Amino acid sequence: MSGISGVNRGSGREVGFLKDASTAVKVSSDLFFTQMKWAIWFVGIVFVVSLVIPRFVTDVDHIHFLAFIFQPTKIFMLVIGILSCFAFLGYYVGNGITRKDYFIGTVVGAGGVVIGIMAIASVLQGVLLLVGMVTTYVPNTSHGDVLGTESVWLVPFVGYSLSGLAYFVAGWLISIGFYRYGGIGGAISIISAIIYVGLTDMGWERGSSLQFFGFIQIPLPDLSLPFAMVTTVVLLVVGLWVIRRLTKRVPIKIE
Amino acid sequence: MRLNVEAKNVGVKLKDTDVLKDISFTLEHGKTYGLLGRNGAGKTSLLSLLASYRDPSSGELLIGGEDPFENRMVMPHVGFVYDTDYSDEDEKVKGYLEFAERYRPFFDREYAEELARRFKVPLDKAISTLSSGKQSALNSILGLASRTPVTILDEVYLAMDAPTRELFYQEVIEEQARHPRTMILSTHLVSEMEYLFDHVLLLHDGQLLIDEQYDAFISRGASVIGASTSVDSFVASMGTGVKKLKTQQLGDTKSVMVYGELSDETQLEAAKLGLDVGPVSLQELFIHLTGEEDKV
Repeated sequence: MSGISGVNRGSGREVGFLKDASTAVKVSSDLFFTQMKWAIWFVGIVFVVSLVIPRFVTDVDHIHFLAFIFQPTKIFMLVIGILSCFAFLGYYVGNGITRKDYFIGTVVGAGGVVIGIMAIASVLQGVLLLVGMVTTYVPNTSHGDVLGTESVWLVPFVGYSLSGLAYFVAGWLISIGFYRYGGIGGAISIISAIIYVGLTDMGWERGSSLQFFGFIQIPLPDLSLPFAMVTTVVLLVVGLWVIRRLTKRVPIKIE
Repeated sequence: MRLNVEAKNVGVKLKDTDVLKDISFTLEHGKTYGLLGRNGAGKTSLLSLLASYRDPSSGELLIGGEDPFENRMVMPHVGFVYDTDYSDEDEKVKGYLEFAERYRPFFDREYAEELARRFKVPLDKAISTLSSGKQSALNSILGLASRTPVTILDEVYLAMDAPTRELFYQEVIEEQARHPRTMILSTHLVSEMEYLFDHVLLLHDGQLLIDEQYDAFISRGASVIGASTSVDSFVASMGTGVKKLKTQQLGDTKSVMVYGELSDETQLEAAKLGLDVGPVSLQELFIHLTGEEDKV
């Protein structure tokens, strides 16, 4: 008898847990699909630009699409990060969703979006490669250093995704800075975000120097790829921790 | 689902200002509460606590016996709609209904669409393009159709035109009969809504001045009309338990609005003196109880 009631309590907890999880899952998928709609436009436009530019600019190196879209993706992720608190936080909490579920959903959604962008870009690159193989049309299909060997195929994918996510975190930091503390807090958060992306970029911009505001330049040693990845992951964890602290009990604006 | 609300010595401090001071009350399932107060009295601050928009600086708030803030078991069941700025909202009405349906466990889509028809709110238009009256109507629809066990409607009726407001009041009454809940209507337009309230909460300068059954509260107010001298002596005889709210004089006739416990003997005495004792509306009580500083 006690065994049965024990089972019942257990399954009750499990149902409760699943219910909890389901809100976070719903928020994650809602945020992913909303932002992915924007991302598809973004990838489409960048793709067209990447095909058109070599027609007009002759001294441009043919560059792999995944690498081509990397810089614009960082800015895209920064922008959707900046939008986050103003577009979603109040609306979600206003619909009875906890700040915690908003936080989880935003992280998962943003991760999904950056992976989605990279996946679409890879597919488009693959299509270009196929087109290049069966026709004489060779747009941007130079066998760049990235796709040349199969073994490094995953490295830029993961690296670009982590780096894109770091830009999102920077944007989100600016977002909560302005949302919670207004102008001065926003200004501080912008400076923090610039330093933050400078640090995350340092591993990926090989052989260059650490730049802040364009004029402060700190020469950097060539960092190894694993080191860059570890640094970025650590910075992501730190950035997300700070954002969670700032959003945990944030008062929602009534406007 | 029944959710009672209990506030114990709740306070909210913003920067150095006490927006709410030491507020205690309980709200019961199935009742409609009128939360009254002048602009800046702290109505919205109080309601934002219930909706977990912020947490109290002091004291304790319980909904269904639990702290509602960041509580997954409580937050979906507390609905809070207010006069929202929709000027940037390019989402369609339908999108808002879908979202509420997704996250509000008791949301009734059919009922929401029926209300939209009756309030003439188009489903497929961007919310920013709707008139402010229609945007208000949308808020009321969300508030009513979400069927949240705690439903808070904060001044959402202001921009609606009079016929729509009437429709809305009717719906509030019918919804309370069909799906009883703890309903809170906050307003400073008291006169046309007072018949909706079972209970009155009156906030003034961040403090809870009145927390009373509507009938009991109303019965404390009386206007005494008669010959100037008899009115004066009668009011003076009522003692310190009674507050003089308003005095009007026309020739030898004086009318004094009083607030306090009026016993049967007092009423009889008034009749003996040839004075008229009449009722006072909630609106009048509200104006004069919260307007003291203007009088002195």
